[in-house]
Amino acid sequence: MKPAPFEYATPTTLDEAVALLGTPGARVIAGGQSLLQDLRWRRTSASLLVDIARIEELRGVHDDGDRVRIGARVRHVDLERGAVGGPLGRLLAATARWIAHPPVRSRGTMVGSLCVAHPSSEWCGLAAGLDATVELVSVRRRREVTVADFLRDSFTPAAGPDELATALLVPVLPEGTRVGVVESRRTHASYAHVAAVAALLPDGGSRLGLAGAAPTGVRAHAAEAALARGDDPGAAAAQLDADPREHPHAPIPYTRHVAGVLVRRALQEAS
Amino acid sequence: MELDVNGTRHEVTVEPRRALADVLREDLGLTGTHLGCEHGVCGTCTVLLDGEPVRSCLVLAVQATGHEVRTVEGLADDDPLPGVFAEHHALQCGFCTPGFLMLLRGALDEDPTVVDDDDRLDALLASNLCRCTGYEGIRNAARAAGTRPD
Amino acid sequence: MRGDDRLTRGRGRYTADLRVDGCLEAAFVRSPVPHADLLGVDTTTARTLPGVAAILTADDLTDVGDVPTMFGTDDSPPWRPLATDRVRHEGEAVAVVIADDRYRAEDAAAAVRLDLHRRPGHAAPGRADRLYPDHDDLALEKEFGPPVADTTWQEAHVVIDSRYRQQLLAPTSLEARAILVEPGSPLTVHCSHQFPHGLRTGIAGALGLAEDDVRVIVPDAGGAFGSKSPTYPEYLAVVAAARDLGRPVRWVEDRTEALTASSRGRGQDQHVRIAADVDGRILAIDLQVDADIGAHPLGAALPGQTALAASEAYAVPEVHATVRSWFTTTAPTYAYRGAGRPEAAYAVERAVDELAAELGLDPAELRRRNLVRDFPYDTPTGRRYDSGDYAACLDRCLELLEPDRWRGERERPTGVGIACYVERSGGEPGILEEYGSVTVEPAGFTGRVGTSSTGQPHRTVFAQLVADRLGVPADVVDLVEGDTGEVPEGHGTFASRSTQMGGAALAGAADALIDEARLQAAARWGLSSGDVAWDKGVLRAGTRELPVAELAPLHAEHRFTSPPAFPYGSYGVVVEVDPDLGAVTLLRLVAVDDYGTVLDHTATHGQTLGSIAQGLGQVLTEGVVLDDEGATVMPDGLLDYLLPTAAEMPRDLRVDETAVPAPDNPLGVKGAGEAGCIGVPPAVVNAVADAIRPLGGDPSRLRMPLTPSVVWEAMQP
Repeated sequence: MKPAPFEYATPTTLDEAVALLGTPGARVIAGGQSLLQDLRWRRTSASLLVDIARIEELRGVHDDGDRVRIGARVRHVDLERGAVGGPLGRLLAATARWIAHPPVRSRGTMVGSLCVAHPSSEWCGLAAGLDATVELVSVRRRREVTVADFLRDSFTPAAGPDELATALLVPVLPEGTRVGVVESRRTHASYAHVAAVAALLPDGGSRLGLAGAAPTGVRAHAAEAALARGDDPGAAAAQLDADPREHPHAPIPYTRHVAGVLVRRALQEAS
Repeated sequence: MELDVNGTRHEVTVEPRRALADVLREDLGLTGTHLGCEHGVCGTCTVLLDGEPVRSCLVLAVQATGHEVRTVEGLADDDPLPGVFAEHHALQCGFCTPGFLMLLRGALDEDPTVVDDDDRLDALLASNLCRCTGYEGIRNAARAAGTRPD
Repeated sequence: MRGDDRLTRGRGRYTADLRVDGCLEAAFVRSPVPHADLLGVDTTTARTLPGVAAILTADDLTDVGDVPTMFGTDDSPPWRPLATDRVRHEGEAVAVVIADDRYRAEDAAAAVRLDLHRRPGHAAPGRADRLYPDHDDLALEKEFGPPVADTTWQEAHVVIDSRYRQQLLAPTSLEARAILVEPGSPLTVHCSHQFPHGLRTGIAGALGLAEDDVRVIVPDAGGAFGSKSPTYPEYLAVVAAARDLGRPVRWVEDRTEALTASSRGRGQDQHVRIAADVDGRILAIDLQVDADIGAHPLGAALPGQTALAASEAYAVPEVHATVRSWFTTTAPTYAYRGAGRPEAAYAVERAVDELAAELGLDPAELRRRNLVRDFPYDTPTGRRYDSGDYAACLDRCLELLEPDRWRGERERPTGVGIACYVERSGGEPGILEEYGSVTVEPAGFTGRVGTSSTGQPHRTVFAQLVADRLGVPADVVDLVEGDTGEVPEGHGTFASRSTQMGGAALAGAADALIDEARLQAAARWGLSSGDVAWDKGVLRAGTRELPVAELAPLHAEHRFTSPPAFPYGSYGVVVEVDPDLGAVTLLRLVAVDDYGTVLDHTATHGQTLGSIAQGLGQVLTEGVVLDDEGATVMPDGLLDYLLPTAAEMPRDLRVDETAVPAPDNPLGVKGAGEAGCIGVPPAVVNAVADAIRPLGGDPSRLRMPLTPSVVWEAMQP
């Protein structure tokens, strides 16, 4: 379980980093908690790892009033410790606590999780539910892609090999928003089976995100609409928002059912 | 590259692909850090990086340059954790022990009250695996370490 | 415990921690598929890669003998250290790369090209298309006890007829297999192993060496749980490489290898029938086991342990068991903690619970009516239970469990389950003996014993035992084991045998030492030995006294033999089921075991807890996932094969012991290593069955591991 050889670079500026990503086979490493696993299993390869740990521009969290910009170097543990304020910050902190365990949370990053696009990634479910946007930079251009477009399929983010995901831009949740997040998993150290993230907005609207219920994290539009109509959001989530794949320990009907249950529970936690 | 381990600066030449755990064990001879799964799950390779517990199998040695690494060999002589682990029979084969010690050292340094609440303690201890003890001794040792001044 | 101060300071010395100058690293090239003809192995490119010292294939090992099976058949097909013309399980070793560094060894292993022609694989037990041309797919078939009379089934008030599956488990010691071989005379083998003398025999036999030409040393070992007693094929390949290259070579198994290529435990399809009268008296048990033993007969005969245990704790007039061991295209099924007894306890205790439900009887009362009460008791399948008070053990369990406390209105579905078990400790004929010796040294005493710790506190418990026997402080007693150069013979540590067999051998050796010392002192003083007393390491006769150290060198040995012992226990569990998700939470777990006389309660307590955790693993979270052809479907390793964490352990855990001394053991002890993983699984499933029955759930749909989806599906109408 030792990785094949690769080169390694630690650029200190974004320009340098994206220039290096022009190298064929170059990959970005942030926390590396998924990438290094895959390299060890030799199920992915890299000629060059571009480590973004020293790029000042990718640090930290910035709130412009409309959106919170979470830089590519922001780790799970930073969000767990309250790097973001307000209702959104509370939701991020509560969600972070479900991710893996402290030694992984102290290395792994939120943007990195989006780029791995694991089907049961809590961050992918949250980012989809809140209609967040990924910022991508290459030597060619800087662009923004909605998470819905970014998460095309499991492990298949919509980023070119020369693009660096520099930040996740998450719409601010207004004061008075109530939040909840719940998860089902087989042990405390396992991946999520399904996770549900809920935000009840002060205007009566809602934002619901699901992880593990579909090939990627999704916004539970049908459940939100059902909630607005006064119908059961759980049933809508199970029947319409969930689109699970078969798993050895979770047949499709069970996963649909769990998505419904967890949407109800996340809403209950928020209310 | 330079590697700062347990307060000593080491000059080593290693391939970029080499895991911090392998450099600690094979190049620096610090074999107290074990490898049990090499994919970040078991936690036997847990060390502190700038005081925070990390999996040294999922950190490249080159990523640790400029940071302080602490291993089980670097626990202070008067650190209460090794003693309470023995006292509370928190080990049998001992293979997982260094990882649990470093996990707890990092967590206790950040917040000594983490061991006082059963849910928080279990959530922390669930970071690492032990196949021998059933965890009871580890829980008890952790609680005991928290109530002692260090 | 002794050694903890080293282990908690990072000063342990496990096999991978040993530093030997010039040591090379091995990495294996393994079959990526479960079953194929091996048409060619192309090492051309791999040999040119940097750091590569050698690449060995089957052609290089023609002078190495077959891999010995541990519990094989009389007519086992040959098992070569590296595959020759066919691969029969995923992960089977085909070639071994020896390089100066593990990274480079893996680079070269990845560059070896295998020419494989796929054949169909079969993971489930049953006849397929001849895995071996000259052997039937049925590796072994055996019957235990006389068949149950037809009239018994016809005349019974009720017959329970149930089928269960014992899923394959990965033993998963946190230190996987590891071996370091230094060539020379003797050839020195450092290995994380439970049975060093057996490994010595296996290596010497395969390499055509005398046993004295091989020395096996077990350094600190990071757990084993039954899986580290064979002479594995990889070991022979590494030994051959070290011999051929004249260089030390080590192989440190990684987790991917451990989960795909190493031995597994359990693996049985079970069909159990129980006949009972209207009062719940059990008239007959019939147990049929179809075991998937993997591609090599390493543990083909082990399911016999399940058959032998088919009576469990009950006095049943007719008990019959059949075992069929089937070759499958998977890694070998072998011993894992309990090795046959957890399987039997599960089959019988689940069926007994179904019987109680059918009769509307309290499960504890039904069990009480059937427990064995008179000893020794000969079971129809061939066991002689030695001693016990099974009813007292069950009563203590119920006291701690408080079953009535959990009845009535509760927020979530709650269930109570119990299970009784009887197991066998010490081993089977052939290993029912052990060597011990005690030597007087100038500075104290050294005990030597043929067991081999892989994490058990032998050095503490055995040193104390010798010290108590001699009447001296434990800190003047040193204990040596796990080194064939230091201990002349031994049978290792498995089958919960170490204290029962090794402890008794050491006690006998200590007694013999006292006798010998009295004889020698008497001769010195011109007295008869009856006139000389042993007093805490000092020989006395009247006013004369002589510290035993002055008689050094003085040495006594003892070879202890005895029939096996039969520990037993009662387990109780209270569970709560999430009605919407099916997730199971343990509200209480009670374990009451009888290990005979207990020498060190801290040690047995640790064994009980650890085994409970492994039992919880089997019943709730663990299971090797295979496709129909036998390929593993666990791409994320230990993120797919889930071990319990601290957070999965019940907080209300009540562990107690009863202690009826073992009649065949001078110390009164029985084995204590395996109990928990035997008692826990049926108790938990019985509790979940109890929880879902009132909701209209179907307990026959419960299977291990009880993942939330399994429980949820069993609750659906």
